[in-house]
Amino acid sequence: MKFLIFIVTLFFLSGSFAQHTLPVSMDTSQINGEITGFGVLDYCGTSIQNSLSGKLVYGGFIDADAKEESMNKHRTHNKYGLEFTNEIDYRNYSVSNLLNGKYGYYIRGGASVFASTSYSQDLFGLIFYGNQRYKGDTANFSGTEFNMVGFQKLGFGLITKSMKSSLGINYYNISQFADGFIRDGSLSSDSTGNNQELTLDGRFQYAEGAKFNKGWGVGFDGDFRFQAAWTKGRVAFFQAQFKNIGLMNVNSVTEYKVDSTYQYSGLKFNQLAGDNGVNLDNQEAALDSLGINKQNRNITTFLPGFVQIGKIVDEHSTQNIQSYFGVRLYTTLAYNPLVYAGFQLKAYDWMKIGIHGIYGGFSQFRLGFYTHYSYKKWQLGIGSENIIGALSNKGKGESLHLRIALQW
Amino acid sequence: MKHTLILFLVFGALSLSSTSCRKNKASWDADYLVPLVDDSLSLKNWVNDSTISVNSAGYYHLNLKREVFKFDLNSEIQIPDTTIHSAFSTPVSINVPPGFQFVNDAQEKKFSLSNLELNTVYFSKGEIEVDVYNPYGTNIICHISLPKTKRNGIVIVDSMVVGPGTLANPTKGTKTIDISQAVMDMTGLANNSFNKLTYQITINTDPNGVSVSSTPIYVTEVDTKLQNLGIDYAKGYFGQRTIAGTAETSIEDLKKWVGGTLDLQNANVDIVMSNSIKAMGRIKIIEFKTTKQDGTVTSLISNQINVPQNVNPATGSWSTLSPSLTHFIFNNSNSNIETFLENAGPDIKVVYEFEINPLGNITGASNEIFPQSIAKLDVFWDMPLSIGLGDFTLRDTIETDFSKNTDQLSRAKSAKITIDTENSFPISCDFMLVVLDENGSVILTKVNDKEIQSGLYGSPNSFGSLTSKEKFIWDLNSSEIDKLKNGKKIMIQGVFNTPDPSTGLSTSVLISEKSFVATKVLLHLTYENKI
Repeated sequence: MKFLIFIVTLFFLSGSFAQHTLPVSMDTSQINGEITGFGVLDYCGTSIQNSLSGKLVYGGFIDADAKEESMNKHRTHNKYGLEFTNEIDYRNYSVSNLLNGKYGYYIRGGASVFASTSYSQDLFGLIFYGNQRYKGDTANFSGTEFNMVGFQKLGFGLITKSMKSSLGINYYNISQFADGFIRDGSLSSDSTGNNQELTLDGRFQYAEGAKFNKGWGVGFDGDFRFQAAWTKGRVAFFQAQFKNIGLMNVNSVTEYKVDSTYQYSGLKFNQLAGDNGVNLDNQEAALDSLGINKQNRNITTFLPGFVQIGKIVDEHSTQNIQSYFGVRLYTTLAYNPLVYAGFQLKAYDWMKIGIHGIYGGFSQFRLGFYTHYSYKKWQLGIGSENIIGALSNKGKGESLHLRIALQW
Repeated sequence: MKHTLILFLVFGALSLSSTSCRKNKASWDADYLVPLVDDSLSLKNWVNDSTISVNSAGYYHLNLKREVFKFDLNSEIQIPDTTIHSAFSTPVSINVPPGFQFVNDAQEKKFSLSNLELNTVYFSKGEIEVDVYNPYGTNIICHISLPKTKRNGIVIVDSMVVGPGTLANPTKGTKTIDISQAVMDMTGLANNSFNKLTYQITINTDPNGVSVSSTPIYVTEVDTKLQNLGIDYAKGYFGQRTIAGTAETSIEDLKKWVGGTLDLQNANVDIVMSNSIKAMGRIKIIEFKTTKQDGTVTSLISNQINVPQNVNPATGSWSTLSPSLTHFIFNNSNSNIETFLENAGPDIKVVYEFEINPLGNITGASNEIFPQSIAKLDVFWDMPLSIGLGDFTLRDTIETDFSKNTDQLSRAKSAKITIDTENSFPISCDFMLVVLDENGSVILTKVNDKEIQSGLYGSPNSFGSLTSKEKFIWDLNSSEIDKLKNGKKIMIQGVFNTPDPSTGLSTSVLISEKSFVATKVLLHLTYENKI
């Protein structure tokens, strides 16, 4: 199925590329308006190979080989992240009476899911192999972090007609929220497996319930573009972009906190049945007996923000080859600053091809690729920030970036 | 607008396709070790004053004490709330000067106490409320005296002043006299009767008041209420009374005994009547029997059954009160007690009859009860814990409902249950597990090719006790796990024997205080996780 999506998308789409993914182009053409839409499906990690993560994303049975291949790639600390974003903009540059006629405006709608985790090799082992692997050993999962946010946003902003710089404000509906950490965690077992000890100092919290609206937020998107002198007397365009910088308030968050060590070797006979029997139906009593503190509360925290600064390509450059590079980061602890650099080749006036290298983020080095087509008022684009991932089960993630734009 | 619509459709379709492509959940198998049971069973928790003791040789000795019935006579001896109404008037018209005593009434009032003839009582609590209605236009002074009721040797007296009233609206005066901790002589004014309250009331006009005229229609009414009386001690004749009853109990654990033989040694059962009432009595154990679940009845046969025994009065008083003890001792020489116990069913029934003063009032009304006076019947079962088991079979059924975990069972690919035992009881056990559906049909049976051997077959542990160690493994394949979805009951059965290591034949064995059986149960589970 993923291959089918890839082919279908390739067939239908190309473009100057996703709004915040590579490359971002500078088009100083005077136009009256445009509608742009872009989509990103990107998941990657330092250690989990596609043979396993593909099953997690698309479903299916993860066999022993897939587990073992990924297990062998794990180091002491590992990262994994996922972004799924759709956005559509309506931009109007033809308004003449807005702030001395220098600005247009945009209306933006979108939906995103961000998830990331930082985890140990032993936690991967516990999840995918079970605790039997650690008989007579200790599985350490201290330093584990996890967060996931899903939201929909509706925004309004102003755009300069000259440079297409923009600044806008968004309202967010928070539909999914969960995060947690394990400051100190381990599971030990003696050589027989009969005696086990769990140490757990951590917190997990999530927005409870099935309703779509679990909170709200306010944040800003900004896209500032400027030109600077470049080599050989030319000028180059640069962009400083941020998205979803703001706060969200999440309602009815259920928080579990624990800081305990449990030794367990089995139940007593009188706990198997009768009045002293263990009753798992009474969740509150079970949590109390385990020393797990549960509370419900509203929380205010940061949106999963995004910042990217770098050189962008010029749509009207006479050069057949242009470079682009920059740095990107997300406001999540699991995300390392990402650097990228690449070049775009203008094959024809209506077709451009880009290739770039990327290092950081949730993964390590990977290659990116895109194609960009122009046809009359349409611009179509498709790309990937993980070519190996798109082609091989040995890759550590997949990346699909789409953009379609209509200008008039 | 047309273009906008196209864009929305394209992105909508892509969004849907990218999410709906996940038709199946991701799944993988993982192997888990789950300790299920870790426990050690011994008889140490049963060692107390009323169940099991340890003899000097280090072996358990049964000292079972259980109460059959208890009779608290205090609850039978009660004086109900009582009101005595009196009315006083002058027989002719007179002028009543200040300080004139116009009532001096000494009376006795007999309580209605069924089957009781009391001559002395100590009240733990109680009060006398006196209401006086004054029709005269001057104060009257009322003196109340209980000449035969004393607290600390002093007669209880009290008085009150009742304000002036009218013939139409007499003034009411009320006085409450506390008689708790008081002793009352109930023999009446002539000291030869019983159940009588003696009291005296005098009424004077106020010596500092005014003269009033009195005619026969001026009636001074007095209501004397004895209420909330509680008795600590009573002496008299408590009547000839019979307490017949049946004590029935059901020992749930005995219901699990479904077969095999039990051999007991030197069983000695003492049924003791303890009487701390100072009155003669008579006790008869009419019947002592047990009934098994199959309806088999075993009765205790002895020449002491259904034969009354006299019960002597208690001796001493108050803190020195000492009960009389009347024993029914059953042993192998005077009864079928061992057979009776070896065939004991879970339902136990004792029919008894206890009489107080069976010969009537032959002690001159000298029966006494004290606060701690009771009559009770206790059973003491005394024997060394020496038992012989011959295919002694215990079966227990636990209600469960595996259907609530159908999804989890579907995802369990295979399971292995490892049972490690260490046994130092001189008892062997062959155990099995059976899972039944709602119709009671067997859907899974797990038996073993060996048994938990008697500790006598083992080797000494660090404490010097002989222990045998065994490991049992039950493998459950996916087919067997699948059958569990219909499981509604788990039946566990153990067949116990006490083999002699030299002959292999079942024999009687003593149970050492060091005996224990330790069990560890570990589940190895291959489980399919899904997200």
